[in-house]
Amino acid sequence: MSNTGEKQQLLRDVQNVAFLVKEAQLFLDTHPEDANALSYFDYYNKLLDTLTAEYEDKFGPLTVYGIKANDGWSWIEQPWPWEKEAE
Amino acid sequence: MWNYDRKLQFPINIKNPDARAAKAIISQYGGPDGELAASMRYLSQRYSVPYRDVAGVLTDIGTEELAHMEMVSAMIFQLTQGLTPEEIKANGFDAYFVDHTTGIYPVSAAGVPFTAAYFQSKGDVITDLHEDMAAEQKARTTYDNLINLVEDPDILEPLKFLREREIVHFQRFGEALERTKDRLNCRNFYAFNPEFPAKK
Repeated sequence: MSNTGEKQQLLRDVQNVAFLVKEAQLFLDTHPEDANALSYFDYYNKLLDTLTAEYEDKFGPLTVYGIKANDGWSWIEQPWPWEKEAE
Repeated sequence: MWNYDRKLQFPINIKNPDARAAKAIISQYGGPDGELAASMRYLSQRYSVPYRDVAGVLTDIGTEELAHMEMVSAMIFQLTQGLTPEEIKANGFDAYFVDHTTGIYPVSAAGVPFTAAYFQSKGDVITDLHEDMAAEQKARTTYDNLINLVEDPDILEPLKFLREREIVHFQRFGEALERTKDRLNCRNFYAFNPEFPAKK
């Protein structure tokens, strides 16, 4: 598949940014007044939206909300995350 | 509610099956300090906590533990694909194989099935947060032990990631405990249980 390299890289970008969002989320739960942490969270949360939309346009849904009915039932077409083929 | 995210929190791609490693690592799925116990512990404790920030920590860490349970399960799955009966016998995986083939079932490294008795939901936020901090340290030690037992970088990298998360979670629970104490009587944190009104 010609897209394998790009697909893996974009998935990695989504994973990395989702991790930053998760980490900031936990931090903000105990530091809700930290304005720097909040703007850090906001920046990466928006970037995650952008990257997720790009991935889903090119390679299929990451969540049920990313399913495009024009593609048919694409939810079950790609490897599940635990399959080696997902990497 | 929860929705499924069609990705792992950290990539797992284990090229070589290893039944002996699977038998050890499965403890972080169904063992006493594993990810199943962690997620059920925090997601059970959160309801009766009267502080929204602490309930947020329990919800958000509990949710991340579900993702860790998935990572550990994916590791067991990949470690047990393509094994021969000889490899299963030689690496001590035969007892598990008899009951579960290579299906994923929550047991400890010694084969003890998962039990809810591995965790507590005490209905007292101070008590529960102390348990949670201890649980993160116990899970960290377990990952230390697993890291000592394996060499394959495909297995080591996700284990190291998971070990680091235990340390971060311990830190957040410690902060949640401090924020809880700040709301209580500093001369006697135990004067009353904030989750159950004191008898008059």
